Amino acid sequence: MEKYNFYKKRAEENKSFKLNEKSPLPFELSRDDQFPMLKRDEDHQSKGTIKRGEEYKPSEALIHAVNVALMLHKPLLLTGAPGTGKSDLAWHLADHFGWGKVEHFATRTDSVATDLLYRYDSLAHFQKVNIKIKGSVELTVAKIEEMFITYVALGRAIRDSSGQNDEGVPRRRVVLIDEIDKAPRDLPNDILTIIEEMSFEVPQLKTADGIQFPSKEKPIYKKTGNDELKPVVILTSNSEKTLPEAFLRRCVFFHIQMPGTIELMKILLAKKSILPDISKQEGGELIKLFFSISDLVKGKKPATHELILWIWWMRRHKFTPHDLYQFDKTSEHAETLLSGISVLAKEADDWKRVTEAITSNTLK
Amino acid sequence: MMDTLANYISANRHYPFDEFFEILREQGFSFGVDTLETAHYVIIKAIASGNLEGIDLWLCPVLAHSAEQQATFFELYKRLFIPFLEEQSEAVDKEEKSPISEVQSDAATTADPARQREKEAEEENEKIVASLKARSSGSYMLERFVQSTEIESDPVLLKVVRQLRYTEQSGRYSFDILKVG
Repeated sequence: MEKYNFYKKRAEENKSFKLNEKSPLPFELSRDDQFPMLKRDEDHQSKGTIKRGEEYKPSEALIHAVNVALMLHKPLLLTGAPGTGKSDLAWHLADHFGWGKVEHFATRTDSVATDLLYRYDSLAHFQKVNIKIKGSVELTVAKIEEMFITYVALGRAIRDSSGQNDEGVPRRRVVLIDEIDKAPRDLPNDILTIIEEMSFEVPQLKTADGIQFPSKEKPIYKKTGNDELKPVVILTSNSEKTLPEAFLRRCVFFHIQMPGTIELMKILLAKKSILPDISKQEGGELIKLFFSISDLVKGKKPATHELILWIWWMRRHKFTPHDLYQFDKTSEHAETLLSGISVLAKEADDWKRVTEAITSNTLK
Repeated sequence: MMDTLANYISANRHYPFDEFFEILREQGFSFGVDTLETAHYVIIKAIASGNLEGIDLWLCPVLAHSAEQQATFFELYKRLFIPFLEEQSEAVDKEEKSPISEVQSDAATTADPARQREKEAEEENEKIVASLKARSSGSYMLERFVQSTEIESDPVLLKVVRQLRYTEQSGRYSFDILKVG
């Protein structure tokens, strides 16, 4: 039986299942049979997982763009087709420079600047104020902040820069603001203003108590970071919507293109945990075949991520480019071989075009 | 600030950055004084880091604001800088080969610091040109194609070819017909 035919494997198991038994045991997927999962966090040491951004190989041009962004302490705006590694760069930088966890924010069409800074649980606050339990403590501003305010993404990074965290240690953070082009018109500029000023206010803490907070100290509702440890902000865009010119001017811009053969080879050779022991010759042949298939795809072109997935899949099944160039319809693995094309051609017409080229042995 | 920067750059190298910025503006790049100041700052840092071959890689993230502008930037940079640097090197070569300079060079080649600096600058130029050519895939070839054909004698066709811009989204070259006029 084919090793990765999970469905068939389960069918065999079900065949031997006797009706008088209570129920069959649930099917277990082995980690070794699946593409490595992403490690959720530093402490999560699960077998077969890989750290996001690990073995990431930025191009020379991208490295220059990162250096310029760091030098000018401006946010780096990245565009490029999905799967070219825009978001992974944030994890790579955090890992490369030792800046800890990435503060990730996924932009929505209704996101506003405060969503990037903190979350306020108004309902819980309302309940706490209105349902007073006998003997409960009076809510001070500090208590309100502790109980109902949760700092997120940029807000947490700004506070971290001045050591306003559990450890009390000032540190630089990487903030990833994904798909900024989805945001309402005002958001991009609001974000830049916050980054430039390195401070923000939490109006919910602006109570009488907050304002009268010991006059010599800063009011509790005003959160200010340390300019020396300004967060490194990575913005990504799928260019679905144009961004304001004034915003673009205040960013460092880089478009990640689909890498060429040489760059792809470097990327593949660096993926030691996903593609162990891949040789230059094997990688070169697979890249050549990948581009031949990609040329036939008229819709969404496969990107680097798809290439890595597809090569992992090909190697797991012990298929070689030769199997596709000299396709044998009578082979017992013919269907399995063709099914892998779904990783590269995501639209029906493209899939048909590619499979036709393979089955008619006209793939060049 | 800009004066000092310009002096600094021109005192050390003679690169046509002002002309290049002008060409970018003609191609629709919009940048104000602050962006230009940033660009000069970045050029100085690139020179200070000794990464002359990569100045375009330092500058582009500051001046380009879209995928198309990025492609245009690299294209125009190569089109302006490669011939410029090659011309400079040729001029130095010619000067060295002239009879007067041959007589002078016997005594001065090793001792004259100015000559030494020129030689170093020439080597540097060659390095930059080699790096730019290595990094350019189809674009520089297009320029070579222009030079090797009859296109150059046809001003309209030449304008079209020089205006060709690659669009990654569609995988096609296109040009703005209004600019060909």
